[in-house]
Amino acid sequence: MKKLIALLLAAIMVLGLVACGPAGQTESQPPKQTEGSKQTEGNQQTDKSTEPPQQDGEVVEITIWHQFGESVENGAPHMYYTQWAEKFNAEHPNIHVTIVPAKTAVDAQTAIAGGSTPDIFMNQWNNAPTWAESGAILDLTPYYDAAPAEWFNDFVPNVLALCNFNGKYYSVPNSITTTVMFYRDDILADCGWDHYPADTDELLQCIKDTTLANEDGSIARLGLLPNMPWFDTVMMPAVFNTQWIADDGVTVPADKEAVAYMFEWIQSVYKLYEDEFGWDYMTIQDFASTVSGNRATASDPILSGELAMRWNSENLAATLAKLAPDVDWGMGLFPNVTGGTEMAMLGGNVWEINARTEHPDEAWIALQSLTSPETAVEFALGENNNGAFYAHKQALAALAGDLGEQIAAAKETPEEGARVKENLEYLCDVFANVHLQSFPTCSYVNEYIAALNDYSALVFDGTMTPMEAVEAIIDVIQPLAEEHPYIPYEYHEK
Amino acid sequence: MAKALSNSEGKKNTLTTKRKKSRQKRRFFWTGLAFASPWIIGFILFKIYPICSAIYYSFTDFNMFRTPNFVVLQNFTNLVQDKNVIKSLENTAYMVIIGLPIMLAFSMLMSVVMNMKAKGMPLVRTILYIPAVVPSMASALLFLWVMNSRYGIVNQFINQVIALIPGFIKDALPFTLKAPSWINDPKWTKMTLIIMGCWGCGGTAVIGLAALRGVPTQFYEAAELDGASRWTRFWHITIPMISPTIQFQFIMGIINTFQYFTQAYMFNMFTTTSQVTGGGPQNSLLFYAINLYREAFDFLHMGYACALGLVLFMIVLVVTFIAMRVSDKMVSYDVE
Repeated sequence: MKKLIALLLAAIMVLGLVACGPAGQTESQPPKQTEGSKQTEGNQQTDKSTEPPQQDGEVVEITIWHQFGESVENGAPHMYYTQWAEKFNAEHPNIHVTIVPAKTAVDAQTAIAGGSTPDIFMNQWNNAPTWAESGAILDLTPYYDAAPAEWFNDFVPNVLALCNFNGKYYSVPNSITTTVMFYRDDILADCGWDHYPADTDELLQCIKDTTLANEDGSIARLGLLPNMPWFDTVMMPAVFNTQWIADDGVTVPADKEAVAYMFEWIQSVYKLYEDEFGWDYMTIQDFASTVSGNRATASDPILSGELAMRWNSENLAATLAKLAPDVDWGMGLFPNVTGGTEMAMLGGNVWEINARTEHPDEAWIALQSLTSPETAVEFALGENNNGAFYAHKQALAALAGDLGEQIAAAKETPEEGARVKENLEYLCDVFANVHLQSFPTCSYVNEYIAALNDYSALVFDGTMTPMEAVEAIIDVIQPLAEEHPYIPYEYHEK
Repeated sequence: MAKALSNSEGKKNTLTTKRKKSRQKRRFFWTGLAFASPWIIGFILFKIYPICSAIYYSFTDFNMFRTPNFVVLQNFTNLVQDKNVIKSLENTAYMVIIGLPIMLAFSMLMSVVMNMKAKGMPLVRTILYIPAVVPSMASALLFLWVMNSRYGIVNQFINQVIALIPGFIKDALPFTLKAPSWINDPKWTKMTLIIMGCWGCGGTAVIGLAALRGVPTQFYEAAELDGASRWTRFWHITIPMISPTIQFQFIMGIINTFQYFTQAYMFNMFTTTSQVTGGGPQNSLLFYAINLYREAFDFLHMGYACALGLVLFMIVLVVTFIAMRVSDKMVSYDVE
């Protein structure tokens, strides 16, 4: 009897092991196709049609997961998505989309691994290359090729680099973000600065001039914390005119000396605080951990005057305008090392289609509608009428124009409205006209970011020299770069 | 003849009885199995199957999405050369060797306080137990402010104490007296988590309290008559009598501390904003389980993460075995 039970248990275990696993899919296994598209090797589809495939009355169910909360109040993202879904469902009798809120990337990861929904999901840009290489997300290149020019050409060009991995498109841009320097005009003026620093040398001097100590020697105000709230692995190379991967796609980083200089410059800010004011790295970090806890609140360090300058994602502008319309603050890009050419970072979230979706064509139709210029213009009103930045030129133009005026008019006071309008115009100009640089979408992006975070911190606290850190990063990343050569993205208008 | 007949009938009866018993036994067995089947199925699906899968995947390049390829021992050879694994083992060992004894001692102290016969003790017990029911995320957030170097209540207190120390003593010291940077200084970050652990050890303290309540009072009475001091009574009666409970908490503590994750993950999440799971200042909070999570979910090295899990299992097994062997000699099960 015991033998029988043991055999039975063993059989159940073996069956379980065989039946489960990674849902029995392989990298090259094509997703099930509906009529209207034909499947070729390696997830490559041909004859893509943007029209709904004929289903003879059958309704295809498409599930879309996004990462925002389930609130539909005050223009929360879920409100826009559900409104779009209602409209889409009414226009497409053969497709029914369902929007599911509050689903993180890990939720999507687990669901896909288990072979279940969603068909479309939102993801962070840095996950896209890893997931693409792992075969989790659908190669959208054939769909991109078949998409109308007015859809493709309306995207902010550089944002498409975030969606491209090794020459193929795996995602579609959604919202975009950049990093902006917020500064106190009044503090800079009091310290003798009638203009915002033009390059990193001027910035260092400005940091020194605007830093203030209390009578007991403690920190009253810092000019800037270059790695607060974090060491920006996307913005900093843009500021220092360098790349994490050379054009050959294999050498990391493109210019060792430039990266070492970048680390050295940040370190020099800490040295300045130590030499001029006697505050060591730990004292500065203690200050940083306190003020960063107040980010985007009424006690934000830029409003409280604890920092003369600070950088943050652009969405802080709306919060500052609301919380303190009277405070004299301004916005600029982080000054470039050489001055002149303005470069800034670009990030954002993207939409992807599950490689195991049973209805890739219908999913694409839904996704194309969800990311159309018209939809982006509707979504651009944003939460609390603050405006939101989507990856479409039309949406940015609307925000800088009529929609921006509508947003400004809805504000409580004319002063706040004027401020909001000015901010939106400035930020739309940055997104539309500044050279925006993103982190290379290589398959080892997360390992690279982790190594940069780990070793840069050791430079800033003085444990390592800048060049030692660069060499240590190369030791970790170069083997990965050689194993997975990176193909830089080239944008071509349709 | 008659004897032979009666013998054969007897044998027949015995056989029938045996068969009946065996049938009954079998029926009992299957009925028992049917009743236990929900647990057995759950155990196979949620324990045995994941364990077997993890063992299998640890020899592959599994990434969650693709069919895994067999890579023999590559994951294990990579593991011994991985600097993050070594760092995470160091951090985890610190928590097991230094953190666990501190937390156990504190929990024992709490048990003794809870066991005191004083007015208002139920309220004291409740107050001491409350932190145990606070979710890890909430307590991590709370401690980020409690231990904040500038405005945190702990450093406010330390700074006031430092201010009371006369200047000549401070000058005579070979170092500067300064409140620690609990959250940012890699030398103190793990201690912050240990303090947080002590604050929330009401659960283990309650188990200790139950053990203290189980010590027969006549032992104390006899010792008191013999003139034993409080400390002698505690050391020679209480500790031996509750030693099985201490051993249990110690072994469970080892197992749990090797899997230390949530509090450190929360701390890292709130202190380092990055697209990738952080390890705190200078990776001082990169514990083994955090590194495993990062490999599995940030880098999609699920096969490697399974190998890490398997190695962790082996380490925990060996350490627990040694701890059991050593502590067995110190544990007393004699009540009489």
